[in-house]
Amino acid sequence: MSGVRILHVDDEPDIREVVDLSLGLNPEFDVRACSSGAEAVVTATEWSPRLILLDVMMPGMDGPATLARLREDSRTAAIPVLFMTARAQTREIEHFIALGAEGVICKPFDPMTLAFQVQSHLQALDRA
Amino acid sequence: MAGIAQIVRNASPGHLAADAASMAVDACPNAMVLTDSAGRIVLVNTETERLFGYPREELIGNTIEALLPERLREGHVRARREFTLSPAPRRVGADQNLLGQHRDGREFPIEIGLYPIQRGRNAMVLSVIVDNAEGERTDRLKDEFVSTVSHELRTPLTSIAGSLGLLIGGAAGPLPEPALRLIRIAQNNSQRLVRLINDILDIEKIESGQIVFNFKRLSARALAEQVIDANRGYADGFHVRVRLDEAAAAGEVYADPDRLSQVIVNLLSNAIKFSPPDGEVDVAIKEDRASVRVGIRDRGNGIPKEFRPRIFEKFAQADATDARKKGGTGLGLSIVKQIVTRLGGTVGFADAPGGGTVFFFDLPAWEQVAACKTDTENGMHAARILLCENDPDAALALRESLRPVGFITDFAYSAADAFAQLQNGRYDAIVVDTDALDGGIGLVRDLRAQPATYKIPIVALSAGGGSEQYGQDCARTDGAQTNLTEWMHKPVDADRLAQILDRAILHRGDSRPSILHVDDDRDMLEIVAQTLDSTASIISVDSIESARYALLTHNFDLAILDIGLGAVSGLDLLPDLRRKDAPIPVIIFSALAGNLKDNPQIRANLNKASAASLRDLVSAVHDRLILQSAQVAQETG
Repeated sequence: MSGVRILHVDDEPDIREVVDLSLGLNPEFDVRACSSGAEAVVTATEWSPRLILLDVMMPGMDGPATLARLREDSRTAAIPVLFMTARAQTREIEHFIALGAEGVICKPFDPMTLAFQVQSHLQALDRA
Repeated sequence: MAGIAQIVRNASPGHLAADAASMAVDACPNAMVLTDSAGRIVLVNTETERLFGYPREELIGNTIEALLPERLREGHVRARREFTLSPAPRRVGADQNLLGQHRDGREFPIEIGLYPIQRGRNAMVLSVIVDNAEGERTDRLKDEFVSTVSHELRTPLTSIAGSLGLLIGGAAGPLPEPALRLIRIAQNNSQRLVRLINDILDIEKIESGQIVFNFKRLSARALAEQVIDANRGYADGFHVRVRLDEAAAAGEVYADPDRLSQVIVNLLSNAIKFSPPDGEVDVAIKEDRASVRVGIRDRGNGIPKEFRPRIFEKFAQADATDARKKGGTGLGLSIVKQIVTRLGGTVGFADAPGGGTVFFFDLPAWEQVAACKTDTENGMHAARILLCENDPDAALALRESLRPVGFITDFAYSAADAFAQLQNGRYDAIVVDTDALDGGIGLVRDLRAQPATYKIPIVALSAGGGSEQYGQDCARTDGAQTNLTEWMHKPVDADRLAQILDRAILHRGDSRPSILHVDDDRDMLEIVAQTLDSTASIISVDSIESARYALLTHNFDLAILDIGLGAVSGLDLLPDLRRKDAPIPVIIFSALAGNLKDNPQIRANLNKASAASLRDLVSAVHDRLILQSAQVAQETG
């Protein structure tokens, strides 16, 4: 399959399933899921996704720590990351952006428009 | 029992009452301390001994400050004197981080009730001291519990709401109508739960001060227009029309746009929900010099009398069944009240003429807020502080705390504002709220890069709570380019801040860079002193002898030299300038400056520039001082 590779990282299996189905509404997306930050770092290095959806609160390596690791490695440093988090304050969103994230998708997300939101981010990145 | 028997044996009725009172004081579960007019302890009870770890004989005769940490004692003496001037019962400590100190050095939060007692000509004070540690611990546990529970609830809700949304959206294929109806019910309720959790979290964050308000100057009308547009779909769902009064004023206020939107959304959605079908909701904005009023009027059934006093309480709903039917959480108005209060305003409601209710809130007009920037008090010997803080209420509170201890406090509500204020006035120290202000710690770095402020004492304030990571990030940059006088956590202990500022200002004297200007032309000395006054402190001398004396008594950052000083040459001073521990950079300011390139004395000195006109001089001074401030930053890094 040679679609647009999207890597989704969340420690909750049910949320992984819902995100997988939601992103599946866009047939161009090729989606893989990881259950931890450590697994995401390995998968991102080997699979080179076009974009990563990263949960913020995870046991062990949390979202910001995972992002920092990705940025340290030249093979993954340029992969855009969108954080997925429960409703965050403007200040926290600013902080995530300052860490190097492209944006934030708030949880609970609308499953029928998630694929569209991701697509919009990708288009914005292409234009930039 | 033996004690009581003894009392009975000795007792006249007067003795009995006095002894019983004394026993009651001793048995009181709170610490009680009686002090005389000089603050000396006259009487303590058993709980005081237990709470502070001192036997009573050690306390009697000592001043009450012995029970406080050393750094708070001076401030307490001042507060005590103020109390003696206007003695009236009052409570202190609840919101002021008042601390007591145990004999073993351990500090703990306390609240004190103060009661003046007049006995003949003796003015005494009874202090009832409550250990607040337990209350603070309970509050912290409650906050942690709410935050954990909310997160734990939100995680499964994300899956539930997501799955239901996919089913309704047809992602799993078409569903029979009865199944679809049931799933819609489940989805509506999961969304209600999400709203409820968000509201609980909001309330909790506002109450605990974790929400940082990003104040900006904005138009209430423009914001109301946006909110009305964004909620048109919601209103359509109830067949209600929302109209903004054509005569609505621009309503310039100073507020956090996100939070003010939240207030308008909550009031608007209430008005829509409780309007009859085909009803109309009117939004009006009025302003005068002091305040802006936003009113939202519905044409509903009005608010029952018995419910009115509780309307802004949490989970208050006039008719719980009705509210549930309309999807309310019972927290909306409580959130409105909390936010409006934090924005420095008030909220209320009234019966609308012709039926329905109008909810309104008043906020201070921008002009009013801007007028507070300059402290109108003018103490002869007071030090002037620039407080960079975007929350006007917090700024006013700090001004009030610093005023009695001799500080005049001007405000800057933004980084740009800070630079403008610094252009217009001279300050002895700067206090920067790094959480609230745009640019945060960046503002401190920018101030350090300016000649006029690179030496000035700067105290940074930071919550270190709410957005912990942000605080840590700021702390990491501390020192390198900021050269902070002190980093203080919020809420600010005003007494401690006053002490820090006092010490820093005393230590620094004039915080501006110091320049020695040597010229035999007195008019020129005057002109240069006036021109550079906003940038530096100038010592002007008209002879080599006076210059040498000044070099012995002062430390200079820069010297400006005229060459022709009557019969002698200003260049004769160069060895003196180099002899000091650190050579003082020199700017030659002379009509002869252009002809000096080949002068061997000048070539021998590295730190030199020359200027022939006043404009050249100002720019040379500026460049030189900027270079120095960069060097200072590097050395401290």
